[in-house]
Amino acid sequence: MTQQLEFQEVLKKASPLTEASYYILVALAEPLHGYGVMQKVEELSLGRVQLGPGTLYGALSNLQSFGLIEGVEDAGANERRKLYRMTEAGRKVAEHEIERFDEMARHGRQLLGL
Amino acid sequence: MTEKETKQVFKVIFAWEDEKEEKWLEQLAAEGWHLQWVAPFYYTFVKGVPEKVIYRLDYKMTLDKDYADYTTIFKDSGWELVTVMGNWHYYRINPSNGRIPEIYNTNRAKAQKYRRLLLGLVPFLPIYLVVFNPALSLFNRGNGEEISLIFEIVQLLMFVLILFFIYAVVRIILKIRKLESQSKE
Repeated sequence: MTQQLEFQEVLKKASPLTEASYYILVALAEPLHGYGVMQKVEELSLGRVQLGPGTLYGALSNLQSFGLIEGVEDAGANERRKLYRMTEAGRKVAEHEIERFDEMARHGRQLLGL
Repeated sequence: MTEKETKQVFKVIFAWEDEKEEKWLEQLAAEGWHLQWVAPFYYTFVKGVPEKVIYRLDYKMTLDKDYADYTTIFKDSGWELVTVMGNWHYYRINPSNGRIPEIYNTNRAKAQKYRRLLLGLVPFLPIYLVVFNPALSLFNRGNGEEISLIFEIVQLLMFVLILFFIYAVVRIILKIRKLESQSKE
């Protein structure tokens, strides 16, 4: 029950995610370092979503402070780049956002008769 | 060994005028003068080939725990860190295929930079407290005869600095508000 409440608190703070934060969060379903996230998001969106390093750094530290992503320990001895990955709470927030987008799209289609 | 030709320029640019500073650096690069290092209001350029170079300034505390992660992200994405002056990071990049690269893609993200800058100004607050400390205050001259002229001049200078500090904070706050009100999200 308290866990449920905590999650509601997190959701209230984090949602709605910005476009950049949403893409970064879902890209981290598998562990990646910062630049890896940038490449994956650009590839996935066919270049539409550009993440400058300032935007990326800011979004990564926000997502981390909300507990939606975390640094991966033991990234290998000679790896100087920090690896990030989505947390359990991060996955829940992402799923919540996806449902919200679906609903928004459905309502739009309904009203525009598409 | 041939020394490369350099030039020094004294120029007064303030923290809230960073976009103006970026344009100025880009203009000099186009004339073949490339930034080498920066001291307060004092810039050193080295002579080279005239080039289209994009300069961007970012504010980040070098003592932050995640500083290495921060610099790695910029480096990996192709931005060269030219120099650091008091937490101000001077980055440059050569634009590829006609696109102008940005370090911030939205106004909201950019506003975060100025929020960090405001936080960076907090350590200067003790100066404020000293100037307005009743025991030292400009406005409390109980023992007027004993205050030396030098002390008064120092206090006056401090007072001017404080006024300037307040002005700077207001300018930065206005900048944050403008960026956030222009934010689409």
